[in-house]
Order: sequence, then C-alpha cells, then structure tokens
Amino acid sequence: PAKRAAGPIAAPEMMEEASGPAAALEPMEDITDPAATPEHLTAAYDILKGAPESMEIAKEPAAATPELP
Amino acid sequence: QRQKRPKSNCSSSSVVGQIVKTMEHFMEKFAVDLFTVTQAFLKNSGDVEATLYFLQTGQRSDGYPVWSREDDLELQKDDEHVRNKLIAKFGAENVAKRIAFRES
Repeated sequence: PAKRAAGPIAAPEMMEEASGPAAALEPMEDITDPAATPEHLTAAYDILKGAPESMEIAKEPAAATPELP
Repeated sequence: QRQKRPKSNCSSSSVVGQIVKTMEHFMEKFAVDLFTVTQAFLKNSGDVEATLYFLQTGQRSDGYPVWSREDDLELQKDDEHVRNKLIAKFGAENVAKRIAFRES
C-alpha cells in the first residue's frame, strides 16, 4: 500500500522536490474526470487520511487547501 | 493540447468517491503519499488528466507551470497588470480555470 501523509497538507512549494517523473507514461482508461473542486479534494483527503486529526482539516478547509486562503 | 471536457453532473458524494479512488490509484501507481497526490491535484486545479501527467513527468502537458500559493495570492489581487502577468505565465485558459477552481 502507498504511504499516507503524516500531517495536514502544507503549502505546495513544500513538495516541489517530491514531484517528478515517477513512472512511464501509459494510458489509464479507468480514470474518469470527476471535475474535482477544492471541497471535493478536502473531503477525499479526509476520507483517505482516516485519522482522528483529519477532522481538524474538515473544520479548517484552508489548512487542507493552502493554495486557496 | 487536451480537449475540453464537460463538467460531471455527478452528485458531490459520488464525485468525492471517484476522487478517492483516483487518489488511491495515483498513490499506488506512483508510489507517493496522500500529501503528494493531494498537492498535485491542487497545483493542477483539480484536473485529473493534468494531475496524472504531472505525477508522471513533473510538468504539465501544455508546457505551463503548475500553480503555487504565491500565484494564488497574486490571482486574488484586483490589479490588471498582475492579472496580465499571470496570463503570460499560465495562459488565459489556465487562469480562467484556476479562477473557476478557486470559486467552485
């Protein structure tokens, strides 16, 4: 299973070095476009995190979506 | 250039369910954590295809950069000069998408 985040989502610049080529290009037919909004992403993050502290994110959307103060 | 696709008419809960599945898929596929996947989505204005490409290559397929917090702060300014700088940096379509994403 993939690693889970250790804490709340931080500013995007904090992950600059984490992003990069991670796999070869290949089609993903099973992925549809759900037109994600910040609210959707926050909810999905909360579900996937599944930790008690994730409730704090739900109460503080700005903390979960730092690009959208 | 990618083709525009209409927004989904799915209910919010089903959209969240789709995003959860997509995020799980990305975490497994690219061996990255939830933080990284979520940030990738945020940087790409919630666009699944753009996020996928970004996770694969570290860049956007249209050649423009991804959004940062500083860019978002600039976007909030009611200043034509600043807005034009953002359009030059991201392209008019991406700026419009970002505004829509932030207001969604």
